[in-house]
Amino acid sequence: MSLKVDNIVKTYGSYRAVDGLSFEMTEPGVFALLGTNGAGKTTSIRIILGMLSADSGSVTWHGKKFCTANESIGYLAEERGLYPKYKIMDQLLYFASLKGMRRPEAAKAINYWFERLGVEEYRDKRAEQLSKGNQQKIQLIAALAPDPELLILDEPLSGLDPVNAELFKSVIREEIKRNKYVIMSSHQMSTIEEFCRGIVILNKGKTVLQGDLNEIKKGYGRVKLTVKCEGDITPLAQECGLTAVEETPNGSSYNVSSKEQAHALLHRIMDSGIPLIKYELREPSLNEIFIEKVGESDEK
Amino acid sequence: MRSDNARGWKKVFGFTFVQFVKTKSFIVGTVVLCVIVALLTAGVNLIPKWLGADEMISGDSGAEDEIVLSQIYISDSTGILTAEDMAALGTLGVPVTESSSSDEELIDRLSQEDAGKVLVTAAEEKSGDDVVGYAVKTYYSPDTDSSSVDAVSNTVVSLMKYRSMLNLGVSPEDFAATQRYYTTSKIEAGAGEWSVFESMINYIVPIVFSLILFIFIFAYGQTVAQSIATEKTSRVMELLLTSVRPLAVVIGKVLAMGLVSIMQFIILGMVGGIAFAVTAPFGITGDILKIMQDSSLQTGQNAEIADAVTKSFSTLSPLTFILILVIFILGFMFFALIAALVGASVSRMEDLAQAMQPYSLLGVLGFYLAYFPVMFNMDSLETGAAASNPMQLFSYYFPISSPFSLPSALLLGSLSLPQVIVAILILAVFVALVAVLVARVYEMIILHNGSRLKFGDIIKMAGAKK
Repeated sequence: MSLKVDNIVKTYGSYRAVDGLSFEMTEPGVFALLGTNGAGKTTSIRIILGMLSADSGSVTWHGKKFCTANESIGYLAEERGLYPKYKIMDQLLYFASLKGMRRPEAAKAINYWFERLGVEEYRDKRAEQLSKGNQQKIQLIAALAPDPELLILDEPLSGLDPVNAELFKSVIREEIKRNKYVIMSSHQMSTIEEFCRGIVILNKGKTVLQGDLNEIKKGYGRVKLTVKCEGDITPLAQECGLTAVEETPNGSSYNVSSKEQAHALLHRIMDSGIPLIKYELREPSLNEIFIEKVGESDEK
Repeated sequence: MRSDNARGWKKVFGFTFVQFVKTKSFIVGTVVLCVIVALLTAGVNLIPKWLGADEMISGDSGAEDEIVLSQIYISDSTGILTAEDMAALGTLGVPVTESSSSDEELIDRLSQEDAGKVLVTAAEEKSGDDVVGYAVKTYYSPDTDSSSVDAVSNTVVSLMKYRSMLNLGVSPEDFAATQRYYTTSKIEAGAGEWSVFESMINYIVPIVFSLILFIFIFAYGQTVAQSIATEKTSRVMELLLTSVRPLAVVIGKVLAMGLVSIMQFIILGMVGGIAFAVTAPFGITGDILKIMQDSSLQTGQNAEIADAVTKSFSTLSPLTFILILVIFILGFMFFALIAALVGASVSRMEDLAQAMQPYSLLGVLGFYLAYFPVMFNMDSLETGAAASNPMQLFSYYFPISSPFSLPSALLLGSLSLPQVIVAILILAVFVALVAVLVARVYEMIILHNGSRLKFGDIIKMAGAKK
C-alpha cells in the first residue's frame, strides 16, 4: 500500500514547473509538500491528481498507474470553488455521485459532516450566501464525504479563524487516526510540524530538501541557541566566535556549529556573573530550515 | 475518443440539465417566450384577417372601400373636368357640387364643419407659358375618414387623365389599352417557375426558420460557454477534475444544454401549436386550411394558394423531420463545442464577453449567410420566378451556415435528398474536427489561469500536444 511519485517533470515552454519530483508514502500519515509561491506545488498536486499529464515520470497508487477517476481521492483545492447559485446539498450530492457514491449513501455521509463541522443550517442555502470560512467547510465536506483513502489538502487552513482552524485540525487528526494517506501543502510551518512526518521542499520546481522531518532536524543537530541575560553578552559571544543573528525581547539568537561552542558561551556568562534568564539550545524549526534551504537554492 | 476520457459524462449531463431547468432565469425566460410565441402565433392568424387579408383569399379583393363622405366640392381652374366627369364622380354615392365660393372661403368653412366634407381643387402648374403639370389638392373637414379622402382624390386625378387623353383625340378604348399592366420575369432556362404565393412561401419560410434556429443554436451555445467559464472561474472545475476527465465535462454540458434547447423548442412549439389551433378558426390560417381541405374544388386566386402550398411542401415526410432534428443536433454541437472552448479559455468572467466576440461573429456570419440570399431573392416576389441563388446554395453546404439554412431547404424541397445528405455529412465532418480539437486542447486550457488564451494559442496547443 503506497503512493509513489517517481521523477515527474512538467514544462511549460522553456519553463520547468516541476523538475524531477520523487517521493513515496509507504504508510498512512501526512506528507507535506512545501515551497514558496510558484515553486511548483499546485502543478505537482495536479499531476498527482491526474488533472495534468507529466512530460515524464509516473505516479502509482498501490503499485498501479494512478487514475483519479478510478480511485478514492478527496481534494481540497487551494482556491476554493463552489457553484455560487446552486444549493449546497445539491452540489455536494453531485460531487459525491461523481465519486461513484449512491444517493442515500452520499446523503448519509454528507449529513454526518454537516453535523461534525456545524453547518447543518446551510444545506439548502446557495453557496454565494455563505461566508468564506463556511464555504471552506463545505468544500472539506466534498473532499471527505466519499471517505477517500487519499486526501490532498492544498492550504487547508488559509483564511480560517483560530476556532475553525482548530476544527479543521481536529478533523485532519481524526483522518490520520483512521489510517488515511494525506498530502498537505501549506505555508503555515507550525501546522506542518504538527502533522507531517515526511516533507518535500520545492523551489522553482526543484526539490531542495526531502525526507522524514524528525530525521532532517536530527541531522541538523541542536544548532539554534537563544540566550537572554540581564546584561550585554555580545563581547562574550564574540570570544566564542558567535554573532547574534536575531535580537528580540526574548533574547539573542545564535547559529552554533557544535554543542561545545554553545556550552563555552554558557561558561563565560556564568564566570562573568551576568544574571542569566534564558538559555535554550534546540534543533532548527521547519520554518528556519525552509528559509535556509530556499535561500541556498536561490543563491545557486 | 477513449471511453475513459468520457466516463462520468452522464452525471455531468444530469446535474447540468436539472440545475439549469431549475434556475429562475430559465423558468421565467421560458414563460415569457411562451407568451410571446402564443401572441405571435395568434397575431399571425388574426392580424391579417383584421386587416382584410381574408377578402383577398375569398376573392373579394376587388371590392371598393365604402366612401364615408357627406359632400364633395370641386374647384377646377384647369377646365379639364366636364359635366360628364362630375356625373362620374357622383357614382361614388356622395353629393358633388361645383364650388361657387372662393377656395379660401370654402377651406375656412370646412375647417369648422363636421367630418365628411371635402374640397378638391385642380390647378395648372406652369413653367413660363407651358403647362407642365396639374396640382390636385384635397382639403377635408376635421376627423374625415382618410381613405375616403384618398379615394376621392385618386378618382379626380383618374378622371382628369382620362379627359385629357380624350381631349387629345385618344378614344376611350385606346385609353383603356394604355392602362393595362405589365409584369417582368427573369427565369433561368430549365429552372422552375413560382407563382406569387410560392414565392412568398419560399421567401418567408427560410427567413423565419433561419431566425428561430439561430436563436436556439447560438443562444444555447453561449450558455454552454457561460456555464463552463463559471465552473472554471469559480474553481469548481478543479474539484470536478478529481473525478472525471475534462472531455466528460464538455460532453455532459454540451448534451445537457442541447437537451434543454430541444426541450424549450418543443415547449414553445407546443404552445405555438395550441395558440395556432385555438385561433385558426378565427384567423387567416383557418381560411387557408379551409382552402387546403377542398383544394381540388378551389378556383381563381384560392386555387393558386392551394397549389402553392401543395407544391412548396410536397416533399414533406417523416424523414424530413428526422433530418431536421439531425441538422439541429449537429449544428448545436458545432457551435456549443466552439463555445465550450471559448468558455474554457478565460480565467475571469469579465473576460468572457470579449472572448465571445469571435464566436459571435461566427454565429452571425452563419446566420446572415443563410438569411441574406433569401433577402436577395426578393426579386422573385415581384417576378414570380423560382430563384436560383449561388450564395444560397453555398449556405446549404457551408458548415457555419448550413445549420440555419438546411432545415428550410428540406421543408421546401429546395435540395434533393442526396444533396441534403452531402450537406449533412460535411457538417458532421466539421463537428468531428471541432470535437477532436476540443479533445486535444480542452484539458490544457481548462486549467490555464492568467491571461486570456487567443485562438492562435489554442491552435498552437493542439499542434504541440503529443
